Amino acid sequence: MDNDNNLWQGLKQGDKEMFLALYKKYYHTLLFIGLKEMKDAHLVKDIIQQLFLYLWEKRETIQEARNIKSYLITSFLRKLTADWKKSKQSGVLQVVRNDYPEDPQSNPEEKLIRKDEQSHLFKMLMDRINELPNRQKELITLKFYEGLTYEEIVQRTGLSHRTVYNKIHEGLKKLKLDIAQSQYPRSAALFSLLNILASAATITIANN
Amino acid sequence: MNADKMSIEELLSDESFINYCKGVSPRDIVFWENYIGGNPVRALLVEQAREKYVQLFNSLALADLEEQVTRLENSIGQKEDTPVIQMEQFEKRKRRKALSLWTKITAAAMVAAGLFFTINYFVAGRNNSIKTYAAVYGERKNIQLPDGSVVTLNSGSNIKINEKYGVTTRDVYLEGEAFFEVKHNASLPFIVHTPAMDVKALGTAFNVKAYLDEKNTAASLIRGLVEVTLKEDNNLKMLLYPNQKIEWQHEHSHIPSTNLTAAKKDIPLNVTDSLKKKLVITNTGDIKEIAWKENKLIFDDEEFEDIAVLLERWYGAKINFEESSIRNYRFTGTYEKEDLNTVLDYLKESRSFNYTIEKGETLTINLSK
Repeated sequence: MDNDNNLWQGLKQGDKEMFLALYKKYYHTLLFIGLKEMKDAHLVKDIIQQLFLYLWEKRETIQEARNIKSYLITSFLRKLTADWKKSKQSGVLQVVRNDYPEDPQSNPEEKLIRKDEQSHLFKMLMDRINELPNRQKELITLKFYEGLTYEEIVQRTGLSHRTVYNKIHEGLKKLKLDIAQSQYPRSAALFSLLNILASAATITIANN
Repeated sequence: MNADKMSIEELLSDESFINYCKGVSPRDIVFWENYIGGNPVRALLVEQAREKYVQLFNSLALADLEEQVTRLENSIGQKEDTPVIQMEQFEKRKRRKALSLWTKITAAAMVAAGLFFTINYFVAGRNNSIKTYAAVYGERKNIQLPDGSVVTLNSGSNIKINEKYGVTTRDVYLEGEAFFEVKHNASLPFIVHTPAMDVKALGTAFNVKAYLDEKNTAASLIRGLVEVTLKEDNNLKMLLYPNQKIEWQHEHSHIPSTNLTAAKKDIPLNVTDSLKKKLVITNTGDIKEIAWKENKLIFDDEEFEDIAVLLERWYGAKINFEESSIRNYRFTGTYEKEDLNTVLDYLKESRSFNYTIEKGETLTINLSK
C-alpha cells in the first residue's frame, strides 16, 4: 500500500513515470474486471484510458485516496456504467456492482501474469503471434487473452463454430509451441515426475 | 473429443482445458486434475500445454500493456510530436460509444497544435509523403490522427493523409465510408475530400460515405456544422446542420437511380429543380447513418443487390446472384451480431430464395431461386 501511495503522490506532483507505473500496475486488474462486466475489450480499454487521462488532467485537484486500488476500481466501474447508459444500447450488460470490496480479490486471469519474469520469452512468442494472419491472431487474442468462449467468438465474428475452432487450432500449430521450449518446461517435467510418483504412491496405497 | 489422444494444440483449443488453466470453472478443474491423476503418462504433456497457455496469455498481456501505455503516453501529449495512432482494431463487435474520450483531450491537442505551428515554420513543404490507413472487408478500424481527431473506418474503406496534416492543413482523402470526430481548431479547417464532394468542418462529428462502387456519395452531420462543396456542380457550397444528410448521385453514373426515388420517407428541404435528380438533403435521425459504427447492420426497404454489397463488406464474403430476378427483392431489417447464415435465413423467410455456401479463403455465397 505504501508503494501505491507513493505512486499516487507522484501522480499528484505531475511525475509522468510514477503515473505510468500506476497505470501499468493496475491496467490488467481493471481490464479483467471490466471484461467480466462486458465482453468488449475495445470499450473496456477505452474506459481505462479515459479514467487515467482524467486522473492526469485533474492531478492537482484530485483528493487523497485511502485505498488506491479500490478507488481506481470503483471509479472505473462507475465510468463503465455511465458510458453504457449514455450509449443507450440494449443488450447484455450485467449488473455492475456499485461498491467494490475494500480489498478486492484478484481476478483469476491476473494471477496468471508473471511480472518481469521471462519477458524475453513472451516477446519472442509475441513476434511469432504477430506473424500469423490477422484473423488467426485476432481469434487467438479473443480466446486466450480476452477469454471469450467459442460461442461468444462465433457471435462476435459471424464465423461458424467450426471455422473459429479450426483457425485457432491452425494458428497454435504455426506458433510451434511444442518446439520452442523455455527453461520452464524442465520444472514442468519435474512437476509431472512428482505427479507420476504421487499417483503411483496413491495406487500402491489403494492396492494395499 | 477423447482427451487421451489430444495434442498440445488440441488441448489448448479445448474450452474446458482453458478453464482449467485459468482456474475458473470448478467442474473443469476437477475434471483435469482427475485426468492427470488417472493418466500419469499424459501428465507431462498436459502440464506442458498448461504452461504454454500461460505463456501465450502473458505474451498477449505484455503486448497489449505496451500498446496501451504508448497510447496513454501519446494522449497525455508529452511527446515531442504526435504520431498517428492506430487504435484498437475491432471487428464486428459492438462499438459502444468510446469517442467521448477525445473530447477530453482538448488541452493536449492545443499544445500539439501550438507545436505544429512552430514546426510548420521549419518543415512546411518538405517531405510530402502520403500515408494510407485502410480497413479491409469484414473489418472496422479506429485511427487517431496527429491532431487528436478520430476516424472510424468502415469495412472496405481507406483514408490518406500527407505529412502536412495537422501542420498546415487537415486534409483527409477518403474512399469508402468513415465517421469523423474532429478536434476543434478554427485555424486549421478539417476537410474530407471525395471525388464528388468535399466536406469541411471545424470541430464536429460527421459521417461520409463515398464508396467507389456505389452510385451515391453521402455526408451526415451528427454534431456541429459542416460545409459541403459539390465538386461536380460548379463547387456549389451548402451548409449542413445536425441530423441532416446530403446525398449526391455521381453525374456519370451508369448505375440506375433507385436509391434516390426510394427516399420517400425523407422530407426534401431545399432542393432546387435543376438539382432534383442528383441532390437530396434530408432530415434523418442519426441512427441509420452511423449504425455501422455501433455495429448494427440496417436495411431500410433496400434492394437485395445493394444489400449484397453491404453484406460482402460486413462479413468479408463474396455474393453471387445465380438468378437475376432475386436482385430486386426488397428487404427491411436490423441485425446486430448475427452471423451471415442467420441473416440470410431471416431474409429467406420474407422472400423465398436459396443459398449455398462455398468455404474457401473467402466465403462465397450463391443465391438461387
